[in-house]
Amino acid sequence: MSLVIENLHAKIEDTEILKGVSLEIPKGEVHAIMGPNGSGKSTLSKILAGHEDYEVTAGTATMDGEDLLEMEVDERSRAGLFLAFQYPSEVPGVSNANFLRAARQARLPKGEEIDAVKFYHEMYEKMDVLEMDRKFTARAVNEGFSGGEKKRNEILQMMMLDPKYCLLDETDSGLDIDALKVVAKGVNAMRSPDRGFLLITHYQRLLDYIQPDHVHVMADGKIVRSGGKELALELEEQGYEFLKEVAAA
Amino acid sequence: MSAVLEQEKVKFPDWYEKRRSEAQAEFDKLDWPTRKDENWRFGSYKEGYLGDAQIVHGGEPMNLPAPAIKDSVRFIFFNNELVKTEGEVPEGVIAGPMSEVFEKAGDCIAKILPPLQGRLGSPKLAAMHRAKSEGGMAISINGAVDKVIEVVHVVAGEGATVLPQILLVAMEGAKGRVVERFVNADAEEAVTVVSVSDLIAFGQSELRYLVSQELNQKSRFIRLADSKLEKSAKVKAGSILTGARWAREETYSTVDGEEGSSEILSVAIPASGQEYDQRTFQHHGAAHTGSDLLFKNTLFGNGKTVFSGLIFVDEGAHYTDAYQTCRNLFMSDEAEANSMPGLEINADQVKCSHGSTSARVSDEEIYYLCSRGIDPNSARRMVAQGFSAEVVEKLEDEELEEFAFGRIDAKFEEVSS
Repeated sequence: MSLVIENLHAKIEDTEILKGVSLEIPKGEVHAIMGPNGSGKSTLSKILAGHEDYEVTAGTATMDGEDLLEMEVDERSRAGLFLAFQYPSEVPGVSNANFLRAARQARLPKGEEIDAVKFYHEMYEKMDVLEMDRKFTARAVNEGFSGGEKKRNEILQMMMLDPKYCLLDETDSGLDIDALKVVAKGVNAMRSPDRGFLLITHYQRLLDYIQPDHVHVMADGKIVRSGGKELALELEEQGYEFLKEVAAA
Repeated sequence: MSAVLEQEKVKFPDWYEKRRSEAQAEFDKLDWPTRKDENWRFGSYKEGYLGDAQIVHGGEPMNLPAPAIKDSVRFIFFNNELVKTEGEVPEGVIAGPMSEVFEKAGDCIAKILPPLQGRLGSPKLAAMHRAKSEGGMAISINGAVDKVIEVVHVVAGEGATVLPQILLVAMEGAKGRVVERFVNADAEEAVTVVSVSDLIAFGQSELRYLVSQELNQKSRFIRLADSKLEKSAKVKAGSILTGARWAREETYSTVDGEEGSSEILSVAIPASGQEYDQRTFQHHGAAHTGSDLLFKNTLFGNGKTVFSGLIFVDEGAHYTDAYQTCRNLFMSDEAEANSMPGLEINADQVKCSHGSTSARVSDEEIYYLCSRGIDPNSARRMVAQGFSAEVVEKLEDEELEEFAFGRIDAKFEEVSS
């Protein structure tokens, strides 16, 4: 049972961004992708989540054997994929609680209604883990939230939707160290043999708090190196200089 | 017109009959709207022609709707004739058909009854209404009244024109809430409704007044609304436009007493084949007055809106705070919104702003909601509901908000199905 990406190529308008990405994330594992700006890391997560700006030109992506690329955006989510956005959208006038409720309701069979009492109880419990004030339930989704609040809100959604595979796109960016610890606590609480994670990050810092099983380096639309968590430390020390050698080779 | 029977003429006091005959003379002198009429710019002026109207009053009541608000006191009119009252009229409220209320309190009413309406483009229709309408609802509120007063106009008769009316008076220090609804008895009948509402809020009164236009999409709706606020009166007047093929509202708000403040709110949701035309005037006649207009239109299919608004601050009405905002959200590329905001300030130390925006529903917002498993239709609906929510929440009244959201949700449900 894995999220499997094979030889994935994708473009936006005429620019090819992914040039053959292959990666397997089995359940129970945490993988991290690092790499310089513009290497295609965020694009990979957006394509997996079905963003319509990108066109897949070759390759496959499957989730537990199901063809992810054939599914609509909402179907992917209901099938168990979750993307924590780098820049989450604001949705004015839609309260956080109503949004989460609608997302949970969408997972129920037709005709079945969500148990509101249980739902709120669960939401409050998870908000406590993330040290979120209860007033966030009534506020419009991400509207006027600080960068850190938005990221916590992403993790709250992830916790409430109980996905099989979680993609976290630069969740650490814009977070101070305290917020980072809280977010990491939320992610770590969700680690389980039934769930796979893909963390996309620029910095090793996040990986101090969420220990990955595997680290991959992406450059120019491809995975150019893979290794254990020590690879992240190496990158932190040496930067991405070695990529020039890879490119030259 | 089989469902509609001509009823016996309603008896009015002499002073009112005199007004009616004066209105008839006025009607004869005035012209119907034309293409060149500035007050009908971008609008469908031909819809404002009612020269061949078959005016009906009363009839055999049928298909009266269920209460919209729990525990309200309800007055149901069928073709502008009161046919049913439900719930006990609360203490402090005098309410009933205009002819009866005029009989009881004629002199007082005569003094406060506002001048002829239609200053925003439809003087002829206003004159027609006064000359031909057989009354309507009169409500006077004294003291703080908890119960919502619900006035429902059920209209019937293929090709008929109905002339409902409401006179709403909040006495000094009074507090109350009124909901007025317009519905058809028959989903297939094309009915024209020309409704007049006069609202007078005396000193320190606080009034919430919500109008819901729920007619079928064959019908036509015109509403001429006038309000006058005295010292420290606070009025929130809102309208929810979801029905009718074509609807026009002319809203004239006058704040004449210091510290008076008027909120004018609207949510309009035209779908394909529907056109809503709203003209407003925020008139400040005294210093230290406030008005705040917020209109939000969500347009589906080839739905069309027209908004024309003017803030007018009289000489001497210093320290006025007046705001006017009209926002359009396009749910399709075929929809059309026309906005003409305006300001005229003749006083000092005034804070005024006006603005209008139009935007297409954001693909990023829809994508974000879908990425959480919400299907695209529901996601679009949530965004549109969220857009309207700001207006509804300004009512600051749980029961009225629940009713308004119910109407808005029903319309979105209808549009997306």
